[in-house]
Amino acid sequence: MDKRGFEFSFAWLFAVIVGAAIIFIAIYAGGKILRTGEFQQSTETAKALTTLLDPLGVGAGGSGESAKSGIISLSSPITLYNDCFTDGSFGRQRFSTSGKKAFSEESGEKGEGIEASNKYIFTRSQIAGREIYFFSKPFEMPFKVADIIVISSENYCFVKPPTGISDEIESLGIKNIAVKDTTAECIRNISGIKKEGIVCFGFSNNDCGQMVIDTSAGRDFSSGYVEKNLGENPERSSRKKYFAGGLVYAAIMSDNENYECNSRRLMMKANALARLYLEKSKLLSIRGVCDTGMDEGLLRLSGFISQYYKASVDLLGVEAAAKTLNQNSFCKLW
Amino acid sequence: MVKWSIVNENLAFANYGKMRRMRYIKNKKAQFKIQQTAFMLLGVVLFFILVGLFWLSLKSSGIKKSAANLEQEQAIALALSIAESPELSCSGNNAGQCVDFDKAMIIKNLKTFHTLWPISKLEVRRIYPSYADGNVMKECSTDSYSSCNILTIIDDNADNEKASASSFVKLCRKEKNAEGYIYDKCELGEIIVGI
Repeated sequence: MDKRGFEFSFAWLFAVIVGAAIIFIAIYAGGKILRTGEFQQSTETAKALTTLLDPLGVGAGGSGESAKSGIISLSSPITLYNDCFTDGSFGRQRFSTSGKKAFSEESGEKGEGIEASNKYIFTRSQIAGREIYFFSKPFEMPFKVADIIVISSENYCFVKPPTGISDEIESLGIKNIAVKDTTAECIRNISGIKKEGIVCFGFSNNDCGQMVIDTSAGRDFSSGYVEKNLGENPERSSRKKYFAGGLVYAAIMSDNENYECNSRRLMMKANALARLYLEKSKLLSIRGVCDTGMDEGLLRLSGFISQYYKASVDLLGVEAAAKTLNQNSFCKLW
Repeated sequence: MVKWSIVNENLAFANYGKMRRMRYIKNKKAQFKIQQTAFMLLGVVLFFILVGLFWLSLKSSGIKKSAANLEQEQAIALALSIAESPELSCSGNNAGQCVDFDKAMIIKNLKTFHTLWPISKLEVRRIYPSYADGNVMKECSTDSYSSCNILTIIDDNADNEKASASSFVKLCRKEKNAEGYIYDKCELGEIIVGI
């Protein structure tokens, strides 16, 4: 019988083992390089977006005219992550992104977070899309505290908002907010609108995703609260997001956690600015320029914020305290 | 008979020696082949490592370049917008691209605000009128309020500055004239931001 066999020499064994190791290392390194590339891309995108938002974060001085809006169009969809912290003197926000995974529809590697203390970005904790809508608006209490930035990727439909709000949406040209008279119109005219995107002002029905309740004296929704419509789930607790000083859009378009954290940060900044204006008032007096007569009021406002502000519900109290500050017309501080 | 057996033994011995020599040569050849394969594989691995290192150095220089570009963009964006932040901006009608000199002077001493911006240097220079004595810059303080030409608000770790940018601004402060009228005195200045 002819028993012809294949001689599996050491050279072959060595080549197979080392070859397998090389292939394994190559695949591992390839995967690692791909992930590093995704990480780098996501980090660069987050940094570029943060830089892009820099001019919006500080606005253009003055008051209402510094509001701006726009759309960031991206070549491929991204997911934005927004973490907010209240540590330090002003708190901070960490902004990170992740792009689409290579050869897949899934979200890829999350990049390094870019932190900023001078931005107040109100969003859901995670938003995804190819088109990101944003607008900025000054927040005043009574002096300008910061320009808040509201970012979202979803469509909203405001039902029966007050004239002030509908005019503002029109003048700012906010593309993802439509104004309608009924919830049925929202469902009929805006394709793919989510229930949470239907926002009812001063009334409620089953189609409303969120309700805005007015508590202002002028009945113009300048202060009040936003509540989710939980429908037939009354046992689920819904936290009310209280707003004042133009935070109504932020309250509608951000998460509870993000809203509470950023409104607290705004109050930290308002407190620091009250101290700054107090120092400016003293300096003007020392230099013999003028006496503002606001030292006591500013000290009271600063004390009120640092002692009593715990959550957004206290915004209404801060606003009332801020309204008592009347500037001397010939010696203005702000 | 004895003679033949000796011959056979010698022959067997010679064959055995030949076989051993052949096996030795074969072993040598196999070892040589193994060495050849090992060196070849080592060469391939080294080649890929070198290609990888070259690619990594290219990539890292690209990352450094894009990081530097992003830092520069941020410095420019901040230089253009920082004057309009409520901490530094002027009041009333002078709001656009204007630094309130009174506020800037206070912020210099209020360290709380230094952590607000992601910057390592913030400087305001008075361009016109120039109070410089030749090329000597005169740092502003409460004593030399209106006759100085440089106000260093933040200067942390300036040696490690990655990018810097500047922008021309108005420098305004409140003054009172001889008739007791309070007005905003504005001069030409430059704001310099370092990251």
